[in-house]
Parts: sequence; C-alpha cells; structure tokens
Amino acid sequence: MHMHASISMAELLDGLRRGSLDRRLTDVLIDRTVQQARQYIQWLIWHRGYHIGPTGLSVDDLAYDLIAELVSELDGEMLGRLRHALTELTDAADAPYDSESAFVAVVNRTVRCNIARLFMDLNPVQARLLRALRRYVQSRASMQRIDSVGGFWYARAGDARLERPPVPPDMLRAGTVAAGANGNPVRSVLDACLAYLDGQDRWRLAVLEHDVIDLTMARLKMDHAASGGSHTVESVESGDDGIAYAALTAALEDARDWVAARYVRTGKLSGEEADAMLDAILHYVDDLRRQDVLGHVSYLRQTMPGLTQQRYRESYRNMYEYILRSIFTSARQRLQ
Amino acid sequence: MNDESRHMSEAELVQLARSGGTHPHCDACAFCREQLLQLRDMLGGTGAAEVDESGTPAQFRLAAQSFEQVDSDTRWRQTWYLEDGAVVLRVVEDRRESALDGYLLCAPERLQNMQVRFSGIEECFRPDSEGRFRIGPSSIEIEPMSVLLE
Repeated sequence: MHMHASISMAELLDGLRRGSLDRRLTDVLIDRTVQQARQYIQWLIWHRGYHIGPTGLSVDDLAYDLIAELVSELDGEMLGRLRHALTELTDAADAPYDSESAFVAVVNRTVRCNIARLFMDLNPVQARLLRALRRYVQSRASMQRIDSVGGFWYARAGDARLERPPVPPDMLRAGTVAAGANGNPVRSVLDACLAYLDGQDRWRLAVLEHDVIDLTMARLKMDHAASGGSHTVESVESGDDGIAYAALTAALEDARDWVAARYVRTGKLSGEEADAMLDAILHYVDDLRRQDVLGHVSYLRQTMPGLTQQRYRESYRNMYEYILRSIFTSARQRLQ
Repeated sequence: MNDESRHMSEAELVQLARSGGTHPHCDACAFCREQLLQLRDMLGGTGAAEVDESGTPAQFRLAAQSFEQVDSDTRWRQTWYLEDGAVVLRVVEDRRESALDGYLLCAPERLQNMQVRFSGIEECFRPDSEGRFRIGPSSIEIEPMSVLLE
C-alpha cells in the first residue's frame, strides 16, 4: 500500500483561481493538465487511426506541445492562461458544471486549436492542409466554424441544423467525387461538401474538419496517381508544382544568410548545427516534393545523428521550427 | 444550456459524462448526443477526483480495487474494446520491470485458444490462464496500434 497525501482536483483549481498555489502544487496541476491532454490525444489517435510511431515522439511529448502556452509563464504568471480560461467559464453564478468539468473542456479545446502542431510531427502535408482550411474559413464571413468534442465543423453562416445527424462520410465522399478542382484542393473539397449538403433536408448542414482533410488527402493521392506521379504536394498551397518548389529552394538559400547572422554569429548555434538544420530542411523539402515525407524532426535526426528527443526539445526545437516556418512563409510571399 | 447556440457547452457535457447522467436535450439533438457519447468514451477510464501530489501520471486501477490499493508501479497505457465489448484488452506498463503487460478480459473458456496480434509488433501473444501476457519493453508505442484476435 502506498500512503500519500492527496488533494482533490477541485481544491487545486480553487487554489489556482485564488492564486494560492505554491510551486509544488503548481507542478501537480501542470501534470494533471498534461494528463488530460494526453487522454484526449490518445482518444483522437485511437478514433482517427493516427500513427505516431515513426516520429519518435511519445504521446506525452505531443501533449506537452499542445498545451504548452496554457501552463507556461507567458503573461507573467504560471498557468495564467489556464486560470483566465477557467475563470471565464466558471464565473457565471448558475453555471451547470463544476470547475473540474470546465478544466476538461478548456484543455480539450486547447488541444483542438493546436492540433496542427501534432500533424507537423505526424504528417506535414496534413498540417498544411489543416492550416489552409482554417485560414480559408476564417477569411470568409459567409462561413462559420463550430467547435465540438470530435473536432471543428464547417458550415455556411446561419443555422447549420446541428441537431440533425451528420452525413455519413462514405455518402459525402460519393456525393463530392465529381466536384471539380478550383485552385486550392482543400478549399475545393470544402466547397463541394457544403454544396452537396445544401440540397437536402436530412443531414446536418455542416462538415467535420477531419472529413474535409481526409477527402482532400484522398483526392491529392488520386490526382498524383492520375498524373503519373508528376503532380506534387506543393500544389497544396500554390497550385503550381515546379514554381512552388523553386520558391522553396530559393527561400532556403536566402535563409542561410539570416540564420548565420541571427544564430551563428550570436553564438546560439554553431556553424555545424546551422548547416545540419538547413540540410535537414532541404531533404524535407525534397521529400515533400516526392510526397514521401517523414516528420521534419526525422530529417534533423538524419543530419544530427544521435539527436535525442529531449535534446531536440531543450536545444533546437524553437530555432529549427522557426527557421522552417520562415522558409515556408518566405516561399509563399514569393508566390504571391 | 447555451441559449444563444441552442446547444450544450462542452463543460456541461463533460459534467454529464462524468456523472453518468443525461439531459432531455440530448435525446432531441444529435450534435450534443454524439459529443456526450464521445466524452463518455474518452473519460471512461477516469473519474477519481484525487490527484497524487507527487505529480506522477495517472495510474491504472482495476475497478475492484479501492483507491488505497493503487499500485504505483503500474501505469495504464491503452484499452481496446473488441467484438462489441465482449473482449477487453488492457495494456499496462510495469514500471519496476520497464515492461508492457497485456490483460485480456473475456469469457475464461476462450482464453486458451486466443492469440493477440498488434499492428506494429511481429510477435503473436498467447495469454496465460488468467489472460495475462508480457508484450515487451515499455518503450513500445503501443497506444496507436490496432489489435487483431486470432
């Protein structure tokens, strides 16, 4: 038998609300937050069939990444964002839930909002499709995004008739297969799904984000097969394979100068480390072009043999991902 | 109930899922009903509001055990519900031995003929008379694997 003092979750959350958690209890609450995120991620992994094995990341690694801002000292206070989010939910005098239920809801919502980070490790193409889809919907007043435990739903503005059952994915797939591709594939698929739902009164007038991504991935694979392999994944963002690849490689070359100025000359990275990062990104971009891509961390492991996940997180992750994002941003700007 | 959206908030649904309750709205609304079912599924392995102050991760606990008898040397890793729930497979990490153990829960007479395959492991596992079998080192990422019973 293991005897240990224990504190209820409600007491922990009350302490957070009153600002009376000491360092030890703060750590306990952070651990509990990671546990909740882990549970939700595992549920998503199980129900969506994601495979994290090849990334070398554990579910805990993913959980830490997805809820990092919620528990970090970002606004001058440890757990400040968690406290703020909980306060918003629990301040209503007649809230029909307790603080622990609010806590679960806040952690789940945070995981959903940051899920693209998970795909950056699991499936970079999926991550980019997801970001493209979210940007597209956010920029259109004629569309709305609806949050749910299973993920985001997209619908036209107005009543999405959520009380109706969702259209079965197979029916959606069959109903949208003939839709033409107009520009960005993920936008075409979303538009086709909503058009398909418009003309009926049986199913929900909304489509699940996961289904849009799945349909888009299937369509990209079909296009890739139909084009004999010449159609590349860069069309995800640009619609033009060769130009996109050229923009990416040019952005990568440009990056060598500012990486040297920003990181090597300031002593944050050695020249060898900077070269290893840029070489890893070059291999990553090459494989993206061939649609045979691993997680971006895998490429850094190839150029930095023996790199452990812990060492990566502690020393390289922020810089590597910033460089990678900057290169993609620069490539997009070149294409506009 | 969130009047503005006519649907229940996630926090309300979590409260219902944790308490095992339901709400008349869920009978009429597929959107809220499916979220309640998802939350029940997701939160199914939890319910204890007690938290270990040492900050150790959630521990696997058999339903028949009291909280005081929790074995801190084991940790729940994953559960699969197979054959419409007729067979339950739990994988638990034995921290002392840094190994993964599988526990198969089903009609006892089926155990002697049953073998378990995981999608990411070549070896096929045969449980003992109590449904237990050793899988391998705890570093195996068992969570996303699918399971096939033979």
